[in-house]
Amino acid sequence: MLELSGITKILNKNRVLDGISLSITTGEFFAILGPSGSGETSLLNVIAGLLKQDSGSIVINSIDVTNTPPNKRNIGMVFQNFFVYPHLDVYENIRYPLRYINSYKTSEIPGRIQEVANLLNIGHLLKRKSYELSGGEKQRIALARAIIKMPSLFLLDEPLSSLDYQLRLKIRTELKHLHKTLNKTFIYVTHDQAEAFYLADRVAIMQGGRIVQVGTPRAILDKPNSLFTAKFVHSYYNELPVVSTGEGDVLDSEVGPLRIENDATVNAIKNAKGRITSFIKCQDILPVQTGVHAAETDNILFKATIKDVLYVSDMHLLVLDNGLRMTVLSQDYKSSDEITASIEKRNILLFDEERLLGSLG
Amino acid sequence: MKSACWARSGRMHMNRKMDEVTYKALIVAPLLILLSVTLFPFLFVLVVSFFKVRSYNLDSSWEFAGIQNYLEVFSDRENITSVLNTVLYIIYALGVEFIIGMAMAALLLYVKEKYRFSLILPFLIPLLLAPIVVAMLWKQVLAYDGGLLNRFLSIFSLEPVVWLSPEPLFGGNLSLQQSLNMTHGFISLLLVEIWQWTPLFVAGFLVSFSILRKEIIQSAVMDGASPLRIFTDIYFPMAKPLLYGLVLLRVMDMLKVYETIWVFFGNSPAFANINIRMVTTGIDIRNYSYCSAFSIVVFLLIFIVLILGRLLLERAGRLYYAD
Repeated sequence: MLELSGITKILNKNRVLDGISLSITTGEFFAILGPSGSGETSLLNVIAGLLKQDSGSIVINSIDVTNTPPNKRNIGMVFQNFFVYPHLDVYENIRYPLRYINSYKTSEIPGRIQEVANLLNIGHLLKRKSYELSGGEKQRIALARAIIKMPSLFLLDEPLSSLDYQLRLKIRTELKHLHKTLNKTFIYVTHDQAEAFYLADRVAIMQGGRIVQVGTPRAILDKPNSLFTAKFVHSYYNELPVVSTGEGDVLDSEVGPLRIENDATVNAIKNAKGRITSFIKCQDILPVQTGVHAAETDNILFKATIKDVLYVSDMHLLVLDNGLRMTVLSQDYKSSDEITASIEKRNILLFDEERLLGSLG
Repeated sequence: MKSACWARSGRMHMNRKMDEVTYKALIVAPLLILLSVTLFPFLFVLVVSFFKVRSYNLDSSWEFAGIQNYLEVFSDRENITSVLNTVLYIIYALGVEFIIGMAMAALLLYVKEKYRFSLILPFLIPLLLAPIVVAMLWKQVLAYDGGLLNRFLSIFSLEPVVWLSPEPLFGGNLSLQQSLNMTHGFISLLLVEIWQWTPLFVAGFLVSFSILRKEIIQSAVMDGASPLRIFTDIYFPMAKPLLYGLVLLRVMDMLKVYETIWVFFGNSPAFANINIRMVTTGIDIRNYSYCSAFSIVVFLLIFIVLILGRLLLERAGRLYYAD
């Protein structure tokens, strides 16, 4: 559906897009995720034709649109900071794109506008002034203006970022439903990990103008290919510096020696570049019943004292005296309590400064 | 303990009451001063307009004249000419300033944002000059003998023009041109006005265009709007409230024009606007009652303009900085 190859863009002497190549299939919900300034919006603008790339090519539906003007690319776009033309009422806002395309007969336009408005639950707002609307309603109008053109590709640039949390949750559910109903390709830029993983079939992680990983949400969450991605996609994690003990398959860490049981990881460590770091998600450290001994389990088992209990969304983050942090649902833990916890070896990921080396187990 | 509490709350209550009194006094006192310095002269002029008051009987008894002064004001051709001159001056100057200002601002949109305002800075210099200075300067430029403009024309072997004359601008229907003020003199007046005040419109347009989010324009581009349609559909309607405000301000200013006309033409009735006319009747001829009646009529006219202006601003709608 969309093929990008070697897209490069330099803005104010900064390489904002650095050789981006990407392939997106028809009907896919594709999210581009990255920290602010990674180049996601620039990439979207290049696809839309609002920003001219310095090199590379763009193919949409097997047609090379590299030099095609934005309005000829059959793209609907929703912007981050602009939802409605404030001087036009809702009806005129939705009708605006139809002033320049001849997709419908004049007599069909009112019915079509009503149809799209009903799809987005704003059918009753058509006569309202745009400035009288709430943020969520404006956002829906922006979507309606994109839909009315019936484009084959939708570009959404952080469309929910200016909405409050509750509304964001509501609209993202609606967006997912809308994607299914329309059965069109969506490219969605966001800085919000939860949003990207909830909505997308596949996610691309961007860093410094490059795509560093592309995959399904599950694949990226379970196997981030670099420490950057691992830290970016997980909110609560432990980052433990480790050093080789000289035995090759044993690493020394703050929680004791770690024996590597995965041969591929042992081999990868031999070619590691720079410092090695172990990465453990907070939810992968689990409390265990007292009385369980290390000999009875294959997992790494340790005892620690809880230094602090923090409330994070609907979980509790326990800060332990050995430097590790873990998340639990239970409210039974208090500061100064002793806790026994275990980590599955396959959940300890090892990274060098560039890539994932493998897991411990 | 309880009584101390009461005492404290009583003191607080008193303090609050004192504060309220102070606040009211602070508002009412300046309001009274303002009213006395504006309302008293207005009422004085209103009263004078219904009597016969000249310089010789200013200190003695005034003879009641009823609406006689008003009838004279309306029957005097020179008064009507002065009102027409003022109205035509506003229409021509405002029209030209608005269009040139808009066109220049639209062109400046193609200049990089960081250079835009530095580029128009030199053009803003005329705005800083006193109107009397501008008038004197332009009188030199427009002089028949040795004037800069005629010297410039002579380079191209063109005949010198009597710029500050009531001669019609073009050939053909002279009376029509004269009734529409298409004369050399009037155009010279407009030239000065346009030279001095167009930059204000350029700046006004530019500011109102620049506050629009770039996404609004990008969205219209995605929809297929041409640059002209973007200008007429987006830039202009969204800038309207600010521009209508600017137009209203300029109309108020143009109603006050005096210096240029006086420097160029003195009291000549052909070019006199309402201000020249008021000075002529009130100060030169010292017909105070007649001048007062004329002032009241002009005041009512300006009042109507203000109401129209307010309606215009209401129709223009809100200012849309962002959404």
